[in-house]
Parts: sequence; C-alpha cells; structure tokens
Amino acid sequence: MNQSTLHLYTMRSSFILIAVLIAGAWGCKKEPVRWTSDWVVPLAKGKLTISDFVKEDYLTADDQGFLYLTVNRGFNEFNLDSIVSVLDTVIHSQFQLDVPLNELTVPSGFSLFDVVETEQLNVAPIQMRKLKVRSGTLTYSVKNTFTAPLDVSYQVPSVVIGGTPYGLQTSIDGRNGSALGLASGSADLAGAEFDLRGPGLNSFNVIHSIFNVVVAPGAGDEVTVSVSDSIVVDLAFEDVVIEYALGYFGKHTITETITLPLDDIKQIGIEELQLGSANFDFHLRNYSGVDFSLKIDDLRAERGVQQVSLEAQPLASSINLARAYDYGGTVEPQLFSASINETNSQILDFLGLVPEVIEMDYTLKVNPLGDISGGHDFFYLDRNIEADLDINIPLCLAAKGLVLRDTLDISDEPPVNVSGNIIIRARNAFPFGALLSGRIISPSGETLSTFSVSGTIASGNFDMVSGLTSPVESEHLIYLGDAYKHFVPENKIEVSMRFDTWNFPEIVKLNAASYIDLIIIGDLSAEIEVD
Amino acid sequence: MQKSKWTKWLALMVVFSAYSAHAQQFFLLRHDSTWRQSESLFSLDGLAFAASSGVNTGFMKTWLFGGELTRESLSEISDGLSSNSRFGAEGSGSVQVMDFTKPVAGRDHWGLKIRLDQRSLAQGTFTRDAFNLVFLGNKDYLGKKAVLSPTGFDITTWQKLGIGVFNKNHFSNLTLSFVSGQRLAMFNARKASLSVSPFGTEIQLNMEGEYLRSDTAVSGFGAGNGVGFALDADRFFPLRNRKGYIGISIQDVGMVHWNSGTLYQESRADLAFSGFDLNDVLDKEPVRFEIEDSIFNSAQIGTRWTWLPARTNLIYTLRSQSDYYYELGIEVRPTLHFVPRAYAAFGKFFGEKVLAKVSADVAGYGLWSAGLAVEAHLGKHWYLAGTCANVPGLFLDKMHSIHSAVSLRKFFGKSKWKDSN
Repeated sequence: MNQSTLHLYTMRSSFILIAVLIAGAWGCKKEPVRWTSDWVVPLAKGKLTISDFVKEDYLTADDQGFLYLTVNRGFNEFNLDSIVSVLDTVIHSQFQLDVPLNELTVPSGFSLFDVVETEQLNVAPIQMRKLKVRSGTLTYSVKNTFTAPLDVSYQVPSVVIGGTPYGLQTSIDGRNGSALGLASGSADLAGAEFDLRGPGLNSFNVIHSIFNVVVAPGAGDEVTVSVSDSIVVDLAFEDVVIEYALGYFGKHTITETITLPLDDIKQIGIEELQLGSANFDFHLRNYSGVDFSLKIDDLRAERGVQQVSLEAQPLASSINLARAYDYGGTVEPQLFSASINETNSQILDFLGLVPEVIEMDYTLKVNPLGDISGGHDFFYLDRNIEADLDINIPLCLAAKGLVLRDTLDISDEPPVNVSGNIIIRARNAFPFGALLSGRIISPSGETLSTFSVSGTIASGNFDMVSGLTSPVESEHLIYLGDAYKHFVPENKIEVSMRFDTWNFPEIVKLNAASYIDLIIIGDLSAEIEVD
Repeated sequence: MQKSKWTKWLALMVVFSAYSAHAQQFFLLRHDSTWRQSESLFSLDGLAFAASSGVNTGFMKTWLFGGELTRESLSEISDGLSSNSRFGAEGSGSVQVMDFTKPVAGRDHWGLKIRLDQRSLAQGTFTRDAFNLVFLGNKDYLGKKAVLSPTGFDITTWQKLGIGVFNKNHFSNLTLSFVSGQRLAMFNARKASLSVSPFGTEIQLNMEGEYLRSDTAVSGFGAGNGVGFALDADRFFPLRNRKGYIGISIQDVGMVHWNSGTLYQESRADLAFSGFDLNDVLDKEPVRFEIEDSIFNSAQIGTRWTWLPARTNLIYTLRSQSDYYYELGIEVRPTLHFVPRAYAAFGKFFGEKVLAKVSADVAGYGLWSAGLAVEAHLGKHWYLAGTCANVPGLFLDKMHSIHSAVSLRKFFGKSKWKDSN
C-alpha cells in the first residue's frame, strides 16, 4: 500500500467513523429496552367466614354456633302526613271606612278600624282543631291607599310563636300619588302552635285575628281620609310541616303498592334452593290517633320475571287496629303481630326464590267508623303507622347453583404487563363447594376478557350428626391470558362464585365457625419496559 | 529476531485483550513537526464507552440503543456471571485551546490553555443474584435466598471550566478547573438479600443501604446543583533521544459541594410480604401492604461534599524504531467498582501523516478488549483521530466493552517559538 493510497483510505475511514459517531449520538434517542422476567409473588391471603359473604347485620348465631339469616325491613310508606297536612294558605283582608260620607276629616291618633276577623286555614278536607308546626314560614304584606300615614296593629291570637301570640305592629306611609304605602315582613313558624277553634273555641280550621288602624301621630290635626281608600293585609302560610295535629281527620280509603328492594340479595343467582325452615314475623304498630283497617291484597316475592305470592293464613283477612293512646305526648301504640312459617304458609317457596324485591299491594281504611273520637284524632309526624318484616331463616339449606357476584374496581393500571397464572390454594371448611369465574367488563357492561378457575373448590366434609364441617384442601389455577390488557381503571372485574352445597339435596347447616382459608399466588411473566 | 518476537507478542495481546486506545500522542508523529511553529491549537475531543465484567456487549448495545433482551441472552449472561460484577459507562466531550505564543511566568516553553469539559460517568457493582432478580425474576429462587449485596452504583455528571499551563515541548500540563455539578445519584446496598418461601407464599427482604442524590429541582446541562474544583495534570518525562516517554496522568482530582436540596437517605429494613388481606379486598377497603418486622429510614436534605470520580494513569512509551513504538500503562481509579486496568499498545507510523495503533487491555470495568486507533494529518494543520477500543466488541455480542473516541485538532497561525528539544 503506497502512502497516498493509505492516506486516502485513512481519510475515508475517518469520515465514516465520524458519521458512525454522529449516527450513534443521534441514536441516543433510543427505543425502550424490553425484557420478560418470571415472578412468583404472594398476591392475597385471608380467612373468609360467612360474614364475608353475607352482611354481619343479617346474621345471628345460636348457642351451638349455627347461623340464622335475620333481616328486618320496615315499610315507611304508611305515613299519614298525606292526609294530615296544611296547604299553602293566603289570608287576604281588605278594610274600608263604612260611613255615609265621601270624605272625613280626622285628627292624628284617630282610630280608623278596630275589627275582629276569622278566616279559614287551607287544610286537607279534615277538621283541624290544634296543630304544632315543625317548620314553615309566615309572610305578611300591608298596602295603604289612604294619603294619611297610618299605624297598623294586626294580632293573630290563634297563632302562638315562642309562647307569644303572633302580631305585627307597623307604621306605614300614606299614598303619594299612585305610590301606595307598603309594609312587609316574615316570621319563622318552627315550633308555632295553632289553635284553630276560633274565638268561641267551638269551631275548626279557623284563623282568628284582631285588626286595629289609627292615623299616625304627627299627621296633623286635620287629616282627610276618603271612604274609597282601604288597607289591604295579606297573610301567607307557606311550606308548613305539621309536627302534631288534633281534630277529626276524616274517612279515607288508600290503595297503594309498597316496594321493598332487597339490594343485598340482588347479586345472588340461584338455580335451586331448598330451605330447611324459615319464618317471618309481620308487625304492625299504630302510633296514630285514628282507627284503621289494613287489608294485604298481595304480598309477593320477585326475582327477575319470577314471582311467588305469599299465601299466609294470618294475613288473609283485614287487620283492624284501634287508635293509640296519647298520655300528654307519650303515645302507647296498638299492636298487631303475625308469625308466618311453613305451617301456615308456603314461606319456603316464598323465600326460596331469594327475592330481589318484596312488593305489597294493600288497602288501608282510615277511620272506617267515622268520627268516633269526637274530633280527637291525633297525629304525630315522627311515628304513626309502622309495619315491618322480621325474616328469620336458619341457614339449613340445600342449594345448587347459588351464585354470588361482586364487582371490584381496578384502582390502578398495573405498572407492567403481566401474563401467566394465578394459583389459588384453598382450605375449605364450608359445607359447600364453589366454582369461581370472572370477567373484565367495560363501563358499558361489555365482556372484555374472561377467566375461569380450574376445577371446583372442594366442599368441606359435612357431618350430618354433629352438623359440623371438616376442611378439605384443593389447589386451582386461573389462566390470565391477555386479561392484563384490560386492567385499566375505567373497567371493572366481576367475580362470580357458584356454590353447590355438600351432597345436594341433603340439607346442611351453616355454622359460625365455618371458614375458607385462601392463599392466592401469582405465577407471572412480567413484560418490563424501560425508556 | 528480537523485534519479531515483540511484534508477535503484541499482536497476541491485541487479539486477546483490550484497551481504550486514545490516538492522541500526536507529538510522537515523527516527521511532521511543523505544528510546533503554530500559534495555537484548537482541540475537540469526544469519548464514549461502556464496559462490564459481567454483562456482554450484546446486552450493552440493547441497553444503550433499545430493543429486546431475550430470555436466552439473559440466561447466558447469568450463567457466565461471577458472584460480583462491575460495570462502567462514560460519555464525555471537551474543547481545548492552547496558546503557543506567549510565555508563562517568563518561561518561554510554557504556554496557557483553557479547557471546557462535559463529563458523565456511571459505575457500579452488582451480584449475580441481583442481576437474576431484575432480569429473570424470582421464580428460580423459590425456597432460596438471593444475595443482593454488595450492589451499588454512582452516576455523576459535571462540567468543568479550567485554565492551565502546558509544556510546549512534551505537553506536560496542569489545569485547575471550576466544577459545576449537574447530577449525582449514588446507591449502596451494604447488606441486602431477598428470600422467597418454597411455594411463593412469602417474600422477605432484608436491606441495609444508603442513597444519595443531588437536587432534582433543576436538571439538564449546566443545572449547577453543586460547585467545586478539580485538578488535572499530565507529566511526561521524555526519554533520552526522544525514544519515548514515561507519563503520569491524574484527572478529576477534586470535590463538589452539592446544594441544600441534596438528599441523603439511610435505610435498614427487614420486610416480609405475604399478600394483601383478602378481607380488605372483599370489603373494598383500600388494600395495603402487610409488612412485618421493622423499617428504619433516615432522610436528610442538606448540602454535602463528594469526591469527583478521579483516575490516574501511568504510561510507559518506548519508540524502538523510527516507524513504530510500544506503550504499556496502568490505570487506577479509587473506587470499588473498578480494578486497576493494565494495557499495552503497539503504534506504527505510515509515512509522515498517519499513525495507527493497536492495543489491548485487561480489567478496569470489564474483562479485556482489543483496540484500534488511527490518527491522520489531513493537511492544512488539521488532525483527526478515531478510536475503536474493542474491535471484536463491534461485531461480537459476547465481548465485554464498547469504546469509541474521536479527536479533531487544528493548528492556527505561525509562532516564533522554537522547539528546544
């Protein structure tokens, strides 16, 4: 190789080297580095008892630890406040001089009006004698068309607020051209007591007022007033909620349907459930001062399109309850109770449906015999007619295909993509086996990915004599597939557990000591990416 | 005969060992010494390398330029790892101007120079188990204990602006620099292990370590998160009759005072994790780590002094014939992540304008490598040098270092100064 050739070669190599270095530096804006590593990690563990599947509030245990599902649900729609109510009322009063002259010349302090008025309070078609107000507002406005300034006194002795009869005392300017003299204001009616018997204490629904108007002092010794002028007073009772009422509330017949949703049970799916026994108590308590008669036209359990109407002998006829006793604000209710069980009804079918909703069609007759109290019906807002169900199901059952579903939020996107298996190691001391499955659902409910567990978590061994269950161990795999792609916070994981009781259709007993120990381990491949 | 044996021995070294071959000894260029009459020299240098005694060049290339690290390649690296491995990577660039005209302190053969450097160095140590856990996972450690210490790294990036003097004859020089610290990150696991129960039901981590990092409020070039100083010096002792020289070089002997946003954290932890509590999951409570045992964690935010990652070289260069020379050297860095690196080189002149050098080195951050450097006088006082210090590593993924350097120099003007040698 001669010198010039070598020189040329070196030059060319040098420029190639520079180009490579520049390209290398540019290449520092690199693509991510990726690799896959295999991890075995504990994910979750825990001992689950029956209270993890059913709300603890619903469970009671007897001395041997055997469990009962107890549900108490009240019907609140029986309230009488739709009958006993005060509608918004405006009392409009207009006062004019009643003299045979067109004009009158009077001095300051001259009394123009001194009138006792009675007006009707706009209440439901009932005869209200007394009431106490929980909340509400009284507003007034006074308009003066006289040219003279006036002092107005408007007393309402039938309305007592804070122990003092309500009244307003106001000075009002005289009309100036077409501009009327005006005064207005309002009062809070919370705690107000109304005596609606009128001035003679022998009527009902009456607002009794005393109206007094004098020519304002300082108006002069000769003030001209016209008989065509007037004073207009508007008194408005708005948004009045009655806390207590006394009177005759009338005869009413109410036909309604009450819906009692059982949201907690709604997630349970079932193919077949055989209950060993069950009962519920129906309680009715009358805290109101009216007699009533309740006829339960239909009491039915509903699950999807399935319905079972309860045919219970104790509820077949009308339930008549007399009024409660009011001992100066202490109310002693009248009670009715009926125990519904498998001997007087087909309650096992009714509750065996595992209802999502219980509905009751009823007819309620208020004061069916008229005013037998002499206008002394009473009503307390907080307690009037109450009804509830005490459902009591001994957890002795045979179930097949009892499905519990729950949805779990995905709080965070996993930091890396993972695939592989999840291993579940179970030690089951429940007298039922479970088949687990899950799916990832989109916000619209679309199934994005499903995964199922290999095999059924084996049931514990139930001892028919002792009623106790000994644990059985099993191990299962969940193949994740590409589920990780959908592990984003907007989606949810729906977990379904399908239970079959031990040796179905044998009846098994659930004990408070029953449990399942679960250890969940991830056997995962993590795709790691580093920028 | 003697000469032939030397040549063969060096050729053997080149093939079976490695070296970071800086082709910067241009003053050895034998015939062309016209540069000595120049007024000034402008130099532009760039360097990048990555080396490891554990991971190979295939891994490094993927790590640097992206892509997939396959299971097979990672397993192969794991199989070849010793209990402890080292790694180091550096990227640096500098601009330097040397003035040949003016004397310094009345000494005619000394000149002034100014220099601007950008340097970034990452170095560390890791155990085989640490590598396996990060890149392969813990599946092979069921029922075993992974030893994770000693594992540590430090990453330092800094800029230097220096002024110094140099000897116009043999380029011995001394530079004192102002240092602007850009970034520091240091982690050291003094004791660390991870145990996995036989069925993966529990993972235990025991760790005792410390972590230091500079202020993160400002980042990037010239962030100025610390200030300091550095001393760089090269002392060359020319051998009689210009047959070569012995050189001692120190670089980056200095300290940085990192600002008040610097975090120092010391941790001792004995942790056990056996999964989230299922009851929390089912109750939809916020799930939390069930961590047992103890954690001690102490964090301090404040100023802190650290040393710069210094280095020193001892070089022996012998020109046995007019057309070629031999060089032997050793490099020492005062850190546990580096073992003294020995190197040898053989340089040959091709005419008056080309110098080529092959080299080999052993140890340092890596195992061994072989290098090639070429310097050429391009004419009109332009000099260009390029180095590839691991030629096999360019082509073979199973080598243990990648190293490239480039130098561009330009002489300006005519000086009245005469070479005294």
